[in-house]
Amino acid sequence: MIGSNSTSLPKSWRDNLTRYLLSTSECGCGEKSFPPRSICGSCRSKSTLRASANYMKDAELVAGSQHYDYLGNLIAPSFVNINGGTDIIIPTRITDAGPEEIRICMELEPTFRRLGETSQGAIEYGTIFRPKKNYKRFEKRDPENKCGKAGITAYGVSIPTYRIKMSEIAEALGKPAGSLEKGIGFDEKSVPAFDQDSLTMAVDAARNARVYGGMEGEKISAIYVGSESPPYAVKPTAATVAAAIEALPSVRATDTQFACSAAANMIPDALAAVTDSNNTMVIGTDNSQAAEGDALDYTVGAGAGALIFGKGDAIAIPVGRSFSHTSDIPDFWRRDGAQYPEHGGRFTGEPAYFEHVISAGKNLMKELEISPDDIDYAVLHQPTGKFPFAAAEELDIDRKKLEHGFIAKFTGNTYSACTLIGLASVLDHAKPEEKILQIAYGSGATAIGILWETTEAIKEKSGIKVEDMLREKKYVDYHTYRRSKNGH
Amino acid sequence: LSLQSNIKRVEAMKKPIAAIVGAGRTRFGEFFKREYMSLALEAGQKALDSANMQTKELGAIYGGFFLPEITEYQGLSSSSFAEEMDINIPITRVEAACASGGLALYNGCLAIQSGRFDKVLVGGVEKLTNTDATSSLSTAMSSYERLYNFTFPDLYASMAGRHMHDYGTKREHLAMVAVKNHKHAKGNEHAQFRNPITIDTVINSAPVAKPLTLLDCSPISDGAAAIVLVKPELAKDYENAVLITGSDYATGSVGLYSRKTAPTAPLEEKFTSIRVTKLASEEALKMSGITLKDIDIAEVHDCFTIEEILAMEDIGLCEKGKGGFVVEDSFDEKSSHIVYKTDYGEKIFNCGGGLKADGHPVSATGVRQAVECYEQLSGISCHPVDRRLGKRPDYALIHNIGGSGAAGVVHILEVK
Repeated sequence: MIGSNSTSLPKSWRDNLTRYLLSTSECGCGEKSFPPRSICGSCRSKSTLRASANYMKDAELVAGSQHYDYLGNLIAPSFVNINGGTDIIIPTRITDAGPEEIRICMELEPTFRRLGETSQGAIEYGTIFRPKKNYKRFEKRDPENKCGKAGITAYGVSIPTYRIKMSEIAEALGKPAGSLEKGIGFDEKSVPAFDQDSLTMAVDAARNARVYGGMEGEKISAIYVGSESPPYAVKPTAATVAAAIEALPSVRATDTQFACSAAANMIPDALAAVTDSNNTMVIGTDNSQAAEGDALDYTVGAGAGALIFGKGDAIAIPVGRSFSHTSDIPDFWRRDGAQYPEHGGRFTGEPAYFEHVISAGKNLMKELEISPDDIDYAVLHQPTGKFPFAAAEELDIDRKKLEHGFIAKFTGNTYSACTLIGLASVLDHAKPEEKILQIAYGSGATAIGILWETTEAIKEKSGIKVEDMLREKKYVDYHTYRRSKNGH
Repeated sequence: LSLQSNIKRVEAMKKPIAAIVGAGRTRFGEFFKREYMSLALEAGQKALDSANMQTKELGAIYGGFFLPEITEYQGLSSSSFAEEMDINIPITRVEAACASGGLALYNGCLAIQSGRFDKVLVGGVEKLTNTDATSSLSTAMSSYERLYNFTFPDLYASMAGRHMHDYGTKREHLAMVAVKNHKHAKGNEHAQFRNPITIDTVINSAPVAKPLTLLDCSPISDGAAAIVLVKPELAKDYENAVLITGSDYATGSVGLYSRKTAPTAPLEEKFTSIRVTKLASEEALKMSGITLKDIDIAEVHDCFTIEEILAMEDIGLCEKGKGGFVVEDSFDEKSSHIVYKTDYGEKIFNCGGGLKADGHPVSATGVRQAVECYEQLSGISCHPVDRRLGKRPDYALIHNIGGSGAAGVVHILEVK
C-alpha cells in the first residue's frame, strides 16, 4: 500500500496534468525542465518555452533503488531518461517488476498507476514505468477505403501483468485439486498490481486506443466509463480518464453503472453521439471484489477495454440497431457500503444470464433477419467458462466462433470490460466484411446484443494485439492476489 | 551555467575568519525522555563553560534546527531559546536540512567577519525521536521525489548503484566505510554506536534501500552541539583556540533528478558526484590558503556510506570513481583507526565515528563536526588521533551536506 504523502489538495490538483502527462518544457536555449516551467531556468525567457507531454514515451533506467513496504510490496523509486529525443531525467517509480529484473539501462514503458493519497485521502494518480514488454505496437495508418459510417475506429485494452492459477486458489482454500477448475472453465485470472485499480486500467486502455488509433484527444467529445468497481463511490472516473488522454475540457465525461453491462449499454449512445467531427469513447473497466472463498473468488478478474467511435475510417460498423432484454431480477448485487457483492448462486444462471442473453440474441437475429450461419464470431459475456458456450448452443452458434473472444479463459471475468476485451481480440483477427455478434450481460438484469460488420479499413490494424498482451505475465500466490486486489 | 555565475569569487584572504574558543555537545542517541531545549541548553552551556565565557558576553546566537515545525509543532523556535536563557540578543535559526549546523557556523562566521559581533554562539539541535523520522526527513527532497516514494536511503542508494555501475565500486567498499566509522567511535564517549562491526555484519544487516543495508545508514538521533566563536584578534585570550580560515556554502536544486551537472558533464553524473561539495570545498580551501596536501583530518558527511566515498572524490582527494578503491587499499581490519591513503597524502576521516557511528541528530551534525575538529586540533579530545597520525593534526576540513546534495558547507580549521 502506498500511503499519504502529505500533499495538500490544491497542490496535488495543480500537479495533476504534470503527473498524468509527464509534461516537460523545453526552451529555445536548450534548457529542459520537469515539471514544465513558465520561465526558462537558464536564460529566463518566457517566449521560447515549449511544453510537451511524454506519457506514451518509453524510458531508460538511469539510477534507482528498491525497498519493500510493510506489506511486502517492492517499491522501486527510480530516475529515468525519457526517450524520444526529450533527453531529460525525471523521478518515477518502477512497477510490475521483480527485484532481479530492475537494472541500470533497462528499457521501460509507461503505465498509469495509483501513486498515493493527499493528506485528506484523495487518490493521487500518475504515469510511471514498468519493464518494457516485447509486444508489437501497430501505429494507425490512414486507410484507403473509408466507409463514411459511424462505427468503431480504434480500440485498446489493458490487462494487468499478474495472474493467479485456478489451482493456486483451490489449494489456498483447501479444495481438492481439480474439483472446481473444471466447472469454472478458466485456467487462470488476471490480478491487478497493488497500484492498479479500475481507473488506472481504464486510462491505460483509453491511451492505447487513442494513441495507437491516431486520434487527437480534443477530437473526443464524449467519454463513458462503465464500471461496478470505481475507486471512488463519489467522484467520476471519466474526468480523470479525460485528463489523462488530453481530452479536456469540452468533453462530456460520464460514469455509468449496470453491473457487467455498464459499458456495453452505452455503445448505442456513443454511436449516436458521433458526428462528422466528433468522436466518442466507451470504456469498460473493472477490478471487482469477491469475498474470500466465494465462487467469485475464483472467477473475478481485472482488466479494461476501450472503444473509440467515429465516422470515416471505422473498422467495424453496427448492423441495424442494438437489442436489449431487461428485467428486474436480484441475481447479483452489492449493497451501498458493502465491500463484497452477493449473488444467487445457481439463480444467476437460467432465469438471469441465460434468459436475457438468449432472448437478446434471438431477437437480434430475428429482427435483423440473419441466421447463426451469417455470424463469423460471437462474443458473449463470460461470468464462467461454461455460460457463454451453453448460451451459444441455445442460439445455434458454433462454439468455435466464440474462441477468439473467449479471453476470460486467461483473465477471469473482467465484468464491464469482458465483451469489450473479447471484441478487441476478435477485431485483432477479423477480416473485412465479417460479422461479429456481441452480447453483454449485466446483472439486475439486462443483456444487450449488437451485431458488428467489419469494413475494408480493418486491414490497417492498430494498437497492441490482445494475445500479445496476454503473453507476458507473472504469477502470484493467493495471499498476494487478495492483498493487491484490495489495493494494498 | 547559472550556478557557476553565482559562485562567490572570494580573493584568497589567508587571514583567519574567526576563532573557535569553546565547544560542547551532548551524547547522541535516542532520548525519549528529553526535550530539545534540554539538549540545546546542555550543549550551549558546555561550550560557554569550556570558553570560560558568560552568556551576557554573547553578541548573537546562530542555531541550526531543521524540523521544529514538525517535531515540536513550534515556529519561532529562535525565541524559545531567548525565553530559556533570559536574553534579548539576536537569535537566528537557520535551516538547510542536514547542513543546518554547517550553515549556522557559516552564518556565525559571517557575523564575526562583518565586524558587528565579537563573540557569538553557534549551535545545532534536533529531536528526531518525536515523530516518524523517515517522513519528516523527506521534506528535504523535491515534492516529485516524495511522490514516487523516494526516501533518503533511496536517494543515496540510487547514487550508490550508479557509482557501482559506472566505476566498479564494490559493495564491500561501502561496508568498509561503516566498519571504519564504528572503529573510530570506540573511544568517543558521546557516540551513539561504539560497538565494532565487520564487513559481513554490514552486508548482512537488514535491507533498507538496495544496495544499502541498515548499517550503511546513519541512525535516527537526538542531540545537540555548540561552539563559541570570537573574532580572531581575541583568540590569544583563550586557552584553547582554533582558527577558522575557510568557510563556504554552495547550493543546488532540492531534487536530485533536476540537479545541474557541470556544463560539459553527462546527465548521469548527478548521481555519482555531489557538485556543492566541489564548489564549497574549492572555495573554502582557496580562502584558507592551504592545499589538500595540508589537511590532516576531515569530518565528512557520511549520512550513508556512499557519501563518504563521494565526498573524498568531490573534495578532490582522489580521482572520480577511485574513492571506493582508496577505502579498500587503506582498510586494515585490525587497526583501531583507518588512515586513508589519498592522492594528497594520509588523512583520517571522521575521527569520532562520523554520522554513521557518532550519530546524526540532523542540525547538530554540522556543529558536532566542528566540535570534533576543534577538540582534535586543540589537543583536548577524549579520543585523539595523534598517535595514529604520528602528530597532532594541524589542519581540518569539515564537510556538511544538506538533502541529497542540495546544500554543501565546507569549513577549514587551523591550529592557532
